Amino acid sequence: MTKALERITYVEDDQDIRAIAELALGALGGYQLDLCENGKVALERVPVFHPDLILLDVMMPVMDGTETLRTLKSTPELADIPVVFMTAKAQRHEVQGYKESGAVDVIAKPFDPTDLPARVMRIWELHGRDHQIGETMS
Amino acid sequence: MVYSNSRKEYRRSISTPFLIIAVGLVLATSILVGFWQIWKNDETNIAHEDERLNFVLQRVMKDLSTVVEDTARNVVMLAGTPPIQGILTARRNNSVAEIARIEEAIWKDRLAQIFLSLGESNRNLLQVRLIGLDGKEAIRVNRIGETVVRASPKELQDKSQHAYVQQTLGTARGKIKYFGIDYNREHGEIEEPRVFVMRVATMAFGKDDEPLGIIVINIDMSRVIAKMMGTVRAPKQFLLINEKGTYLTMPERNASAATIQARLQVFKSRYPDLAARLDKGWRGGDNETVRVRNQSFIARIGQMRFDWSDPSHYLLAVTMTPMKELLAQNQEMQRQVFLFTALLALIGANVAYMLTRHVVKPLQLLTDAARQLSRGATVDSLKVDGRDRPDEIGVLLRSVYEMASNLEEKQKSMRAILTTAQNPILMISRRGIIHNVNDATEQLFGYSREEMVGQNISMLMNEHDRKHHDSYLQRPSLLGPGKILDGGREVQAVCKDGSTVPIHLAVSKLHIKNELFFTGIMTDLTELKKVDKMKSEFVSTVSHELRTPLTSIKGALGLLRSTSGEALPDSGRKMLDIAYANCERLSVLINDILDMEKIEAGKLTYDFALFDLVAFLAEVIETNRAYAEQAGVSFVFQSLPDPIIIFADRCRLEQVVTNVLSNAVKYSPGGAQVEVSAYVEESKVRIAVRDHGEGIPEDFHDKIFGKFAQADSSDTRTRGGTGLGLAISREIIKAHSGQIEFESAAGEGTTFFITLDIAPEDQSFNRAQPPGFLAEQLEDTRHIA
Repeated sequence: MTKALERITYVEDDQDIRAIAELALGALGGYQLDLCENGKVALERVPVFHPDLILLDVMMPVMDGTETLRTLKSTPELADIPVVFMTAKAQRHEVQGYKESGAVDVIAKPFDPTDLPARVMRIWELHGRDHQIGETMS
Repeated sequence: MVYSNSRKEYRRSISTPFLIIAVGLVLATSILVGFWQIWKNDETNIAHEDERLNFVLQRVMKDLSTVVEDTARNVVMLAGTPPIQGILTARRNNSVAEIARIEEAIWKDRLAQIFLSLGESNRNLLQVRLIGLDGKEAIRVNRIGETVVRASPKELQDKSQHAYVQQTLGTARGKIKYFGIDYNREHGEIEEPRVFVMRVATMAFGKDDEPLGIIVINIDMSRVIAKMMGTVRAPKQFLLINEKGTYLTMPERNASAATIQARLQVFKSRYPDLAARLDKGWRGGDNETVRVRNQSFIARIGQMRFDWSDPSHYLLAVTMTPMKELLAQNQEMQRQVFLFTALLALIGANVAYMLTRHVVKPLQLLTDAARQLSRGATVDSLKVDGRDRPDEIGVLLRSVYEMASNLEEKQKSMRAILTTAQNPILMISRRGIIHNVNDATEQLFGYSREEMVGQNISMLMNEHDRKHHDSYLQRPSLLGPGKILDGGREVQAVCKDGSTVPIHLAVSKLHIKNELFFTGIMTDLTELKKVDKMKSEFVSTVSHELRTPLTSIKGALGLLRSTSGEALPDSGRKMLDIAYANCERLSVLINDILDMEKIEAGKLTYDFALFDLVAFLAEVIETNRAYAEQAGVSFVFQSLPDPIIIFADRCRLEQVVTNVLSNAVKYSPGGAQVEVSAYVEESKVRIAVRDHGEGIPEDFHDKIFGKFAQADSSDTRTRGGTGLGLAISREIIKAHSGQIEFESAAGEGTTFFITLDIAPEDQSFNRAQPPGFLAEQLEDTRHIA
C-alpha cells in the first residue's frame, strides 16, 4: 500500500489562483497545503514542510518551475518528492518536455477546481503504483 | 587565313556547282567552236587545195602544150626547108648518076647541117631523122650528151617496120603525126638509159607535091617532166599517164621494170578510186580539168590530146594531195584549239572561283564570327568585312549583326534581372553539376561564382541531403511533363565557412538543347524563422497570460457553483452558469487558436497508433452525451459489431469527432436525435454524423471549413463555438490522408462524413512505423524539420 496523500506544496505566483487552490485542495480536498509564490520560496519551505507532493507552476518570477524542479531533483533529500506541473503551457510537446525533466504529470490550466482534489489523488495513486512496481522490479 | 577553320565542316561548298557549271560551259562552248572551226577549216582547206591543184595542173598542161607545139612547128619547118627540094631536084635532073649522087649528097649534107643546128639550139631534142619512102633512114642526127652528131651512113637503119613510119607514110602535106610520150624503146624493149620520148613526124614534099620521105623529131621529155614535177611541191603529187596507162612520173632511172610495177601497185592500192578513174582513160572534154575527191585524197585530172583527129594518143595529167597530208596541217590547228580550250576553261574556272569567293568569303567570316560569339566573344566579332556591301550579302551580314546585338541587349537585361535578384538562384545539370549562379547565391554561401560553377551541388548540402540528392536527381519522375517539381521545401544550406542557413528551395526544371536542367530559387529563411519563432512565442505567451486569469475566474466560479450555489436565487445561479460556460468557451478558443497556429506553422504533431474505431466512437459519444442532454439532444449510434481497426492519432481524432458532434448538437432543435454511424466502403471507413437542424445555407457551403466561419455571425454568441473547429478538423483529417465532407439542404439537416483508411488486415507492417501513406508524410515532415 502506498502512503496516503496528506501534504501538498503548491507553488504559484498568481495570488488568485493560490486562493482558489487553497479553497479547492484545502477546504474541499482536506489536504494540508503550503502555498509558495515562487520557486525560491518553495525551495526554502519544502525542507521544512515535508510535502508528499509538489504542484508547480511553470512561469513564475524570481525562479520559474523548470528551474525549481531541476534544483529539487539535484537535492538528494528532496529528489524523491513527486512534482506535478500546473501550467497553461500544456501543449503536447511541452508536456513531453516536463515529463522528461522529472515531473510525474501535468495538470493544464485552466483547471476545474471542483475536480482538482480527485485529479491530484488519481495522479498520486498512479505514481505510487508505478513507484512500487519500480521498487519491486529493482 | 581567318576563315580556314569553318571550311572543313560543310560537305560541299556553294562554289563547287558554280565552278563545275562555269568550267563545263566554257569547255563545251570552246570545244564546239573549236571543232566547228576545224571542220570549216577542213572544207576551206580542201577548196583552196583544189584551186591550187587546178592552177598547177593548168600550168603543167600549158607547158606541155608549148613543147608539143614547138616540136610540131620544127617538124613543119624542117619539112619545108630548101634541101628537101634540092634532094628531089638532084635526083630528077641529073641523068648522070654520079653527079646526081654528089648533088644529092650535098643537099643531104645541108639538110643534116640544119638538123644539127636545130639539135644544138634545143637541148631536149634527141634525134632528128629523114626517112625515105622505102622506110630507111636517109639522115639522122643523134644527141650524145651535150653534143649532136650526124650518124654515119653505116649507122642508118631500116625503120620500115616501125608503126610510126608506116602510119606517117602516105599522109598528106601538112599532116602532123603525134605518137604520144613513152619510154624510149628499141625493138619493143625499154632502152637504157631510160628516157621519155615524144615523137612527132610529118611527110616532106617537094614543090610539085613530090614526096621525099618523113621528117621525124624525137624530143626527150624527161627534163620537161622533171621540171613540171619540180613545180609541184609536196605534199602534192603529180602524175602523168599516157594512153598506154604508163605512169610517166616515176622515172627512176635505175629501177627495174618490176620495181616500177610494184610501186604502181602500191599507188593503186593506196588510191584505188583514183587509179580506177585513171584506168578508164580518155573521157572527152579536152583541156578541162575534173575534180576527184574522197576521204583519202583530192585530185584534179586534166586531159590533153596532141591531134584532134587522132584519139589514140593522149595524156592524163593529175595533181593530187592526200587528205592525210591536208589533215596533218589541221592536227596542228586541233592542238591549238585544244590548248585554247584548256586556257579558256582555266580562265572560266578562275573567274567562277573569284565570283563565288566574293559570295562565300563573307559567309565563312560570318560563320567563324558566329562561332566565336557562341564561345563567349562580344557581338563586335560579328562586324565582319563586307557589311557595307550594297548587295544581298551586305543585307545578310547587317541583319545578323543587328539580330545578335538585339539578342545581346535582351540577354543583358535578363542577366541583370538574375544578377540583381534578391533570391539566390542557381542552375544545375541532371548530374548535379552547377552551371550558373547569381550574385545573391555568392553572398548566401560565401563562395565565388568560379568556386561553385563546375562543382557538384552537394558541396552546398549537409550530410543528410547529400546522401539522397544524387539518387533523387536520377528519378524517372523528373523527366515527366510540368516545370515545377514541387512547391518547394525547407533545407539547410551549408556555407563556405561551415555554417548552415535554413533556406526554402523551389526547384523548376527546364530543357536546353534536349538536356535537362534544374533551376533552384532559394529564400533565406533565417529572418523568417526568427519572426516565426517570435510569433509562436507570442501566441504561447499570450495564451498563457490569458489562461492565468481565466484559471482564477473559472476556478472561482466553479467553486462558487459547487459550494454556495444552493444558497443563490435562481436568477443568480443562472448568471453563474452563463459565466462558467463562457469561461469554458474561452478555454476552448485559446486551445483552438494554439492548434491553428501550430497547423499553420506545420508544427502540429501526431501520435499514430492502431485502435478500434467502433469502440472509439462509442467512447466519444459517451463523453459528449452529458453535453447533448443539456441541450435536449440524444445520440443514436449505429455500427457493425465487428471492430474496424484504423491507424490514427486518437486524441486528434477525438478532437475532430467531438467538434462534429458538438456542432450537430448545437444546430439540432430540442428533442431531436443526432445519428452517428460508421460503415465500411472497400478499404475505407466512413463516419457519418447526421443532425436534423436547419441545414447549412447554400451560400455558406464554400466557407464552412474556413477560419472563424459561422453561417450567422450572431451564432457566435447564441450557439457558442470559436469558428475554428472545422478548419482544425479538416487539417487533422488531411494529415490522416482522409476526407471530411458534408451534405446539407436548408431545413433538412446536415450530415458530416469523415472518411479514413482502414489499417491493412494482415497487419504486416511494423507497428512502430506508420504505414505507406503516413511513412511518406512523415518522411516529408522529417525533411522539413
